[in-house]
Amino acid sequence: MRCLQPMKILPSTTELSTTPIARRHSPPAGKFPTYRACLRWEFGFSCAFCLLHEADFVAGGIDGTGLTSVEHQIPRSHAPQLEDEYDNCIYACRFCNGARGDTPNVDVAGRTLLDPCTSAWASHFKREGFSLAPLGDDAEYTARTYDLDDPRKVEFRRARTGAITSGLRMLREGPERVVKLLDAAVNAREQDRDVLVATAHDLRGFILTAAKTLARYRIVPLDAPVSCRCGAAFVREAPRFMVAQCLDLEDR
Amino acid sequence: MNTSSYELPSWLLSGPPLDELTAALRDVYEFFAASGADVSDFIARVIRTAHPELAGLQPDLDDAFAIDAETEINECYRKLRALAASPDGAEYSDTLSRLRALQEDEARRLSSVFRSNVDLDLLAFETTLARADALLATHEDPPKHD
Repeated sequence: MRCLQPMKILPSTTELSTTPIARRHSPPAGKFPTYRACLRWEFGFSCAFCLLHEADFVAGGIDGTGLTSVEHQIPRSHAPQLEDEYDNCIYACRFCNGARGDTPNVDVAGRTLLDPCTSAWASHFKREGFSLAPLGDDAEYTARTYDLDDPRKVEFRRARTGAITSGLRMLREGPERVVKLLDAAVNAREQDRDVLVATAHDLRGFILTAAKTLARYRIVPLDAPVSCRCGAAFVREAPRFMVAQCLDLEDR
Repeated sequence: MNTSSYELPSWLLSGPPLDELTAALRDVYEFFAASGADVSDFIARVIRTAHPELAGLQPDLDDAFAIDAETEINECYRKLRALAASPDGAEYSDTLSRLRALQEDEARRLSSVFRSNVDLDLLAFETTLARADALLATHEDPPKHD
């Protein structure tokens, strides 16, 4: 029973990276909004701070929604000369961006905001259910600044886990039953045939819904940029730690 | 029908006039609606590509991300930043409580919208699966037709 194109989808829960996210794009200097295509690929279409993926926010493409943006590690208000520095630009969701505002990189107590390109998230945070628990002072400052456990973000994480877990189960257990039910219907008495076919039809409905839901969570979204300012050097790959966690949905 | 694999034509980026786009989309919708196919995601994607300013037309965005609530949430964040020097004060604590209450409301709304868009009812699936297994058990040795 064919219901899916082969694709890589997100894991039900994104595990934290054990290494900093290595930058692979190096666009020529320009205005920071023009880096968006590079940044989407660079950070795997995910907010570098809370790790929510574009698909967690919306199905069918993020562009035009305003739900993600270019965040400046050192705020523009603090260092206007770094506004268009690519290495100062990070892909972030609107929620993390809004929570931070112009909070300084270092607070009065000397705590420093963590940079996902120089700090491995797994060294500073621990997953606790759908939350990210900070493990030190800098992580605490980072978690509070970006409000990493904003209840909305927790809800997005929970929703993905539920959808992917349920969808995979439906795809794993449904198709074989559909085939068996239809086989049985062929050999059944006429009066039994309708109920067998109707049950197969019901199961097929679940399978199709599951396939559609899982397709929403593909790691490379449908509106992924097909070019960026890097030109021929365009790296069309999500960060390795994300790709390593992705699930392969085979043609089935 | 899988509309997700459809590449959108580049002329959409030039923002074609809305009346032309509407007429074209109406034709697409009527053509595929007759076959029972769901093309709403496809149409939403076309609209967002051609006219990003109309993104709010997509129902789950419209319902889920309430602008008023977000404005109030951002106001709380601004206040908390201003009070960051005295996080033990009553005003900080009140603002944080207000922020959490707003976010919880939004989280509930998002959850409800998500559930209405992603209809994966595991319980109903398990019930149907159990019905299938019971039926299959009674048809292990199906009587053959003449």
